[in-house]
Amino acid sequence: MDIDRPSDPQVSVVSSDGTMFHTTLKSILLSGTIKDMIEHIGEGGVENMGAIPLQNVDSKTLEIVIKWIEHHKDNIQPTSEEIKDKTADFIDPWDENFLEMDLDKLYNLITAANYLNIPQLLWLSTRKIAMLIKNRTPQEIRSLFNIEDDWTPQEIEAVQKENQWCEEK
Amino acid sequence: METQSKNSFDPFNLNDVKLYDRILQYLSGKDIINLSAVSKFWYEYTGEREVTMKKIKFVIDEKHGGKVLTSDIIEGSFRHYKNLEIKGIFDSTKNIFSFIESNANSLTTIRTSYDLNLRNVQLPMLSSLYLIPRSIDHPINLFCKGFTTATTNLQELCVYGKTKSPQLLQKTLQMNSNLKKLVFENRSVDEEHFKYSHTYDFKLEVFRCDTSSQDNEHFWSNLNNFLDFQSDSLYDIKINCNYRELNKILTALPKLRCFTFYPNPVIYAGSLSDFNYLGHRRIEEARFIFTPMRIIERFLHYTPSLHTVYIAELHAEHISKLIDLIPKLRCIKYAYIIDNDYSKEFIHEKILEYHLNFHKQHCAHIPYQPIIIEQI
Repeated sequence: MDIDRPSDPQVSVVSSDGTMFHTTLKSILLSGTIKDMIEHIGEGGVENMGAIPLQNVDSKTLEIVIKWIEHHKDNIQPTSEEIKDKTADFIDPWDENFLEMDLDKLYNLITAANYLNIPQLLWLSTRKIAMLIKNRTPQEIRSLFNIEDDWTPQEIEAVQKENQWCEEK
Repeated sequence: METQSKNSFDPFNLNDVKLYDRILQYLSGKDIINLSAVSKFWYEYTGEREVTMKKIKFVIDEKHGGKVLTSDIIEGSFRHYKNLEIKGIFDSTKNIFSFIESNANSLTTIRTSYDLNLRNVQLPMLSSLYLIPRSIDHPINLFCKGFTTATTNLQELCVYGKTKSPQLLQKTLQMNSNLKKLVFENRSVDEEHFKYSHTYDFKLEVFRCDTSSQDNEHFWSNLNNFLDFQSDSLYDIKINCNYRELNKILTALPKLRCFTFYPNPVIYAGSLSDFNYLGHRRIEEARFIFTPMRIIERFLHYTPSLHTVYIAELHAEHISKLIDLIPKLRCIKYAYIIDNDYSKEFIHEKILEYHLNFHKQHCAHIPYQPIIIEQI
């Protein structure tokens, strides 16, 4: 690494709706997708490569993602493989608080974390949705997610009847 | 949390189905059942995904709240179940049979106490089969014709009771060359099962065998031949036998990593001096049930890789002796057993605690605390 080069250079990213954001290289490297891009052009080219376009992430969501990666830039991040079998264990209170957002933002965050390949953020955001569903009745789930009840009385009776034979494995 | 626009949890909001699977993997079977009644989409979606269906089992129980498994439940179901449990005895098996037939290509696990004649149904995906009589005192004619011809892809076969037709079970063993785990518990094993073991193609990794009162020469000769054939793959065994047979088994199975032993009743077990074991290099975990301390001590002394020991027996003070004997152990777990039954009585726990605390005071170099468990 060049001796005059800052230890954590600035990197710019542009959202799908054209808004530019600035963050540090260390933060943005939490994204597997961007890390692959940077490795492709070579580390020396970071300062000269210009803003990185992110066609699949809008500005509101990108702002949230950048907030998260900057907070976690010094933490060791699990890989996609490690995240696969991760259960709902301890969550950092900062992350719990961070995920207090409305459902639309949460869906966009899940999509962005998936596209940008940030395994820990993907785990946190999908787990958040699961926790909202947990221990709720079908009616409560419908109300929470504003899902239309499209069953006829006969159909729902049949499903309920069938579900009486089902148990948790 | 604010609720969002209509159908905000619609599948088209997340453009990748794998993301749905990620969410569903954190839910329990009960949550999945609730979710399936939310809407038609969720009923179909949860019914077709492996991540959800492996968490649910369909339970056919004669005491199931007086409910009757009707044909409209079977015919109306979109879902293809992977796990089935059948409990009890039924006057008519027509609907049970229909259920299995309609789920034949998806069922991966069947747990049954009912002797089911599957006629010509094939269960190509079935990998785990558990045959469990309703109680040990009332063994039923498990393993009639059904499963003998229905399965070819079993990886796990667990029989927890006497089978009336060991020849049929033996045929199933011949048909399933992918078998990795075989369990015979509660006097379910028969000489017949090992008589033609040279015709079995499978290579077991786990074998649990309750030989109980079996002490005849032919039985052990056949079992030893069977174990010789499995010696390349077997790493976990549970067995009860006499001390002489125990020597042979430990010598014949060089790949063993986990070992569970309980001796035959005293009159069949032989003399303690019959156990002239001289070591095993790979065993890391050993479990002893009602085993004399001299046997355990010799085993521990000659097993250099051992790091975990489970002991179930009557005398709590014995565990103190063991700790002195093998300071290299990382873990000892102890279950209190009396009259061949595990005991959870408070007073026994207190006695154990007393012995363990007493020992701890006099043996400060031991880096671990023995753990009291309910059973092995």
